[in-house]
Amino acid sequence: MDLASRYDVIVLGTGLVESLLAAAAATSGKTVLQLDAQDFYGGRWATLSIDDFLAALRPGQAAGATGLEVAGSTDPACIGESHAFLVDLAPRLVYGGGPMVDALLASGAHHYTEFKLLQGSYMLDSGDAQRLTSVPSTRAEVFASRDLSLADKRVLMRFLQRFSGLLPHNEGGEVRDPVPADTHDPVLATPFADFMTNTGLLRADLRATIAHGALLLPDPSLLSTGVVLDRLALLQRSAGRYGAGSGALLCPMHGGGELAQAFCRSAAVGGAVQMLRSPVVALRLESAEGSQIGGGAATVSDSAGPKVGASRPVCTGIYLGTGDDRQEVAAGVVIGGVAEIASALHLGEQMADAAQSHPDGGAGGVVHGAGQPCGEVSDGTAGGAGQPCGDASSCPSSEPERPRAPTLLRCVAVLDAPALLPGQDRVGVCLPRPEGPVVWMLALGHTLCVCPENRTLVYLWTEAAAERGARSVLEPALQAVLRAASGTALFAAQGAAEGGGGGGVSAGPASLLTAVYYTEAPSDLRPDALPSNVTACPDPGSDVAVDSCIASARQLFHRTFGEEGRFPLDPDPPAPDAEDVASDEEALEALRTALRTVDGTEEAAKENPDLGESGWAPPLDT
Amino acid sequence: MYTAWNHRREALVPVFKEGGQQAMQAAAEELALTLRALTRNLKSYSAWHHRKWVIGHRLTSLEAEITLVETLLDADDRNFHGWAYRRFVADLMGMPVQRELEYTTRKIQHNFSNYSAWHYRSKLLPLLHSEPGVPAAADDSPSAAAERQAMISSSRAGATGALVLHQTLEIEYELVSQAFFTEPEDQSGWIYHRWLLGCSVAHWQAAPESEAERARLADVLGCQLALVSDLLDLEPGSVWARKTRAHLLGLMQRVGGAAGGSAGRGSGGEAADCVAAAAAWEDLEGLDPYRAGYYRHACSVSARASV
Repeated sequence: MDLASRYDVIVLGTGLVESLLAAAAATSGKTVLQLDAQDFYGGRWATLSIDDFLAALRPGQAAGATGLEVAGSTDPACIGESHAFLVDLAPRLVYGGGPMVDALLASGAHHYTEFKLLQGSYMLDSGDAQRLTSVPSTRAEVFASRDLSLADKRVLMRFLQRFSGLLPHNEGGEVRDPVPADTHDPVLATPFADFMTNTGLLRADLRATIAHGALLLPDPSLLSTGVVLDRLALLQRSAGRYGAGSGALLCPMHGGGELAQAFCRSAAVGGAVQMLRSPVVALRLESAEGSQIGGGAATVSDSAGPKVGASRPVCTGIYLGTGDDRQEVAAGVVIGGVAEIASALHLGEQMADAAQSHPDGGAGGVVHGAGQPCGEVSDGTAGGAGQPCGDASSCPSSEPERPRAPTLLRCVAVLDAPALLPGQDRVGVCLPRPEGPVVWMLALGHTLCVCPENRTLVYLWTEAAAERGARSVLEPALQAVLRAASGTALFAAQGAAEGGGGGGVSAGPASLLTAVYYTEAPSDLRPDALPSNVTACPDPGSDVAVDSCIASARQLFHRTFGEEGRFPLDPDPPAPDAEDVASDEEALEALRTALRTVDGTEEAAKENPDLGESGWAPPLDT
Repeated sequence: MYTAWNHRREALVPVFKEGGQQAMQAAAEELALTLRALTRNLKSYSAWHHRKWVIGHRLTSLEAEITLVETLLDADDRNFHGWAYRRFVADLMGMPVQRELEYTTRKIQHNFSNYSAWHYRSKLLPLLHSEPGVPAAADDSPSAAAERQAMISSSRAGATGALVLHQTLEIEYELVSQAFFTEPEDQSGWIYHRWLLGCSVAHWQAAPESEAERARLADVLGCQLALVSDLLDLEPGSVWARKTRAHLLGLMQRVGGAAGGSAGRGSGGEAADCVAAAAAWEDLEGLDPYRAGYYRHACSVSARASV
């Protein structure tokens, strides 16, 4: 492959955040080279067939998985052909009015993506009843809910009104983005769990409905009210955006890996060069003074490493491949997924040490000191929690910049029914647990083209709290949801309506065919181990919605390229508007559509909860 | 502006009378013109009226009109022009009442702060679920639709004569209580509730000697009173809840006063209700001084009725 001798930006990996940065860099005119060792896009965010998914779960492979357990058969004769499934390594939803949608539009990547609305949000209550109750997040949903008593509706609405009242509104009554959460308002500084209790949500199940179900928060006692306001604003912007009464969340068609791939394509359109199946990559480092590490002049010479406080090295480029075929490509900055960066740094050190015949050698094991990764990528050790080498106190230098990414417990299961609930093959369920973090669940069906018609893909995940394996935590949760789903009145009504005639879309409650459980340890890298011009992008994590990636990408973009200039994936600021009232504007748009209909030049879209083939409509501009 | 429209209509009369291709084309042009007018002002009485006049000649597709109105109401579901237009077109088309009822249900599910939707519902229910009246049927066949159109037109005029079925009223009470518990400040639900109470009372008024009807009504009123009192426990300041409670107390006073006594409300219930009703109205005067006159009047009416 013909590569230039230098690129402004080299991106290691095609995960979502690094692809966002690749697209942002390419559209702002930088030369970009993006490499991935795999033969697919997406890295830890990829969407794969069953066989590829199982291969990626092997130790040391793309998913960084350990503790794998399979319950049931993955034989195609049992569940279906491997390539008929599109399995996500990092299942995600997208807020309909959120920063991810803005980024897709700003980068043009929306041409490569399609979505369908999530059809229902539910909660499995953790009490004895174990019922699936629908989660309302708008006033209309509260009104329509069959799971709330009249008094509960009033209490919830009063809370929502008071909470919304904290959002700034402009004169037109539209919600503005809330002020950043570093104001000194005591109300905004209160932990959200306390705010809920103080504002009348005295019952734990109502608080769980709001915090976990409606706002998709992991732990409301850890978040301030001001921070949660952001989420509320996002929810209000997203609900009803794609039609009256539509939900706030979108499911990507063909799997979440499409998002990363879409941004890669957008980067390519902006001139980036991409290479899959790239040969092994190592970083070439120079000390800040300019002398090359490991290539010649002696710098790191004793086993304790350089003195504490020595300035960080600079990465001047990469080595592609090994041995005689090795190519050198210079780089201005290097960006990549944590695992890819860790691996490239480690290999760089190995090569440097091998070249110097250093006795301590970086070969295998873990070495302290600046320039060395402190936590290795998990390689299948038992327990799989990615324990740091030795203890943190023995590592010189300051405390880490950010908390450690959590270890995740994941499950991917296949059900032998077209949907988890009748008529709804795209649902989300949250399962709050008294003994640990919330378990999140998504059940996705063939309308997203991710599985055959008579199957449903189910994902469960949670943050690991204690030293328990994925199966022991997630299997009971999955079984509880299946029991609750089969016991719902919905099925009873469906059965009665069909008069036992069979046929129809849903033939009855879903049962479990196969479940794969595994632990996903975070690939970790001490920030001070990074050379000054290398940026590591976070792993998927446990967020249900993918929109936090935009904030991460924006922050990393500014850190890497400097603070000036707009983040290229942010939407253009809206033009100052005339005094048009929002409802008249929308009515005008409606009439223009109607005019085209009446003229017969365009088929009007009929009311349809699914958005049809083209996915979704561009947002109405205010 | 309406004089200009009028002038236009006068010019069009002979064209439409001619019929044929010319007339259809002219009609299509008129619709395009009104659409442009409406684009500039969605609430122009003249434009709507002209459009109604044009489609009344049946030279254009009425289904397209329904699509237009649905698009409009999706964008702004409280535009009463749109709702009135829909009723007009539905009437013209002989639209099955069931379909219209389902439309109102959909609109209410999307946003129950929609007076027009509740109002339309109040016009449709007597046509579909009442005794005596048009039998409940949802079939779409053109002949049935035409037959229905005749029945609807005649019974729309006589809708007040029909009594809405008890089981339908129960369902509607349940639906509207969801609305006023979710949002007690929204008056459309309360006004619909007032209409439902009227429907319940109508059963008794139609058969004043029937003890069964009286008892049933007392039962309904008692249930509703309990419901509204529950709401007042949660929202003591809700003016509409208090108004409805006072109204209910007044009704219970009259119902209880009939021969046969008050079912299950204890002795002296009648006098207690009278006092309670009066007290309720007085409270409202304090809470909502802008309408003090109305409350004083209501108080005196209920006082007179008890004498």
